[in-house]
Amino acid sequence: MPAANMPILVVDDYKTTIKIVHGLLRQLGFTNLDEAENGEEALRKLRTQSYQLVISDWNMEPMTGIELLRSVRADSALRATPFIMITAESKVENVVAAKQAGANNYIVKPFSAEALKQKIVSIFGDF
Amino acid sequence: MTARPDLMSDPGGAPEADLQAAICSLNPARFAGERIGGALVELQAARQDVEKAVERILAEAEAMLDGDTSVERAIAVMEACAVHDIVGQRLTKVEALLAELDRRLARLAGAAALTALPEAESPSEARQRELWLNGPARPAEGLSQADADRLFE
Repeated sequence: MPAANMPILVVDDYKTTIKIVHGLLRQLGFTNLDEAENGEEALRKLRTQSYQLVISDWNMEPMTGIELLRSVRADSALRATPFIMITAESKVENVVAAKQAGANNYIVKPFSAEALKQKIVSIFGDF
Repeated sequence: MTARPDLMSDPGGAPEADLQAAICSLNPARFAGERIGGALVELQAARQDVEKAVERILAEAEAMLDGDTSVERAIAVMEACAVHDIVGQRLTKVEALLAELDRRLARLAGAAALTALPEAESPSEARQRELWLNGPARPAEGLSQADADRLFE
């Protein structure tokens, strides 16, 4: 069961999406929420602060979500961090690439609050 | 108008008058300046309209989640949803322009008997391919959440 105050980093270049994901996470009881607008900023934050979950978009510049995921999995200090991809990229090749790169789960945009909860439950257990 | 290196003219093509008419129909001054520029303005305005509406809807939703379930909140959400009409009208203008441009370019290609040649991949196209940056799928083409879940099992 995840702690309500576990730090969660939401990465998306659309502020609106960050607001939506933060709002849904708050409704699920999570209180310790942070944000980054692309993979580069996210990686900087991950290397200076501790997070127990990353929820990231795919299509961002200058560093995409898949590049962020690969960087996280290649970094011995970060590689165990659970990572959920949440993206409008909905081709088989995207899902396969995310799985191969080590994503814990994949959410297709537009998504439901229930889908977000299910993916968190699948990593941390029910809450 | 400059010649595109990826198109090669067939010397045995249509009469010169047809070709000239097809080129004139593109009306570069109007299409390239006024109409394409206008379409870009419409797209930028559509993006801003949607951003404003979504901001308002999110603010109202947050207020409702905080306990304010007054009728005014629901009405504000309905008002913000009027963005569908406005954005729809803006996109209709852009759709019409693209359809017209497509028709006129097809006429030009036909009149000049142009044949497409393979183009070299640009660096940004290569990056998009290598990083699977496809963007949202076309309607009925993308995977559903259930499809993605099956692939992840």
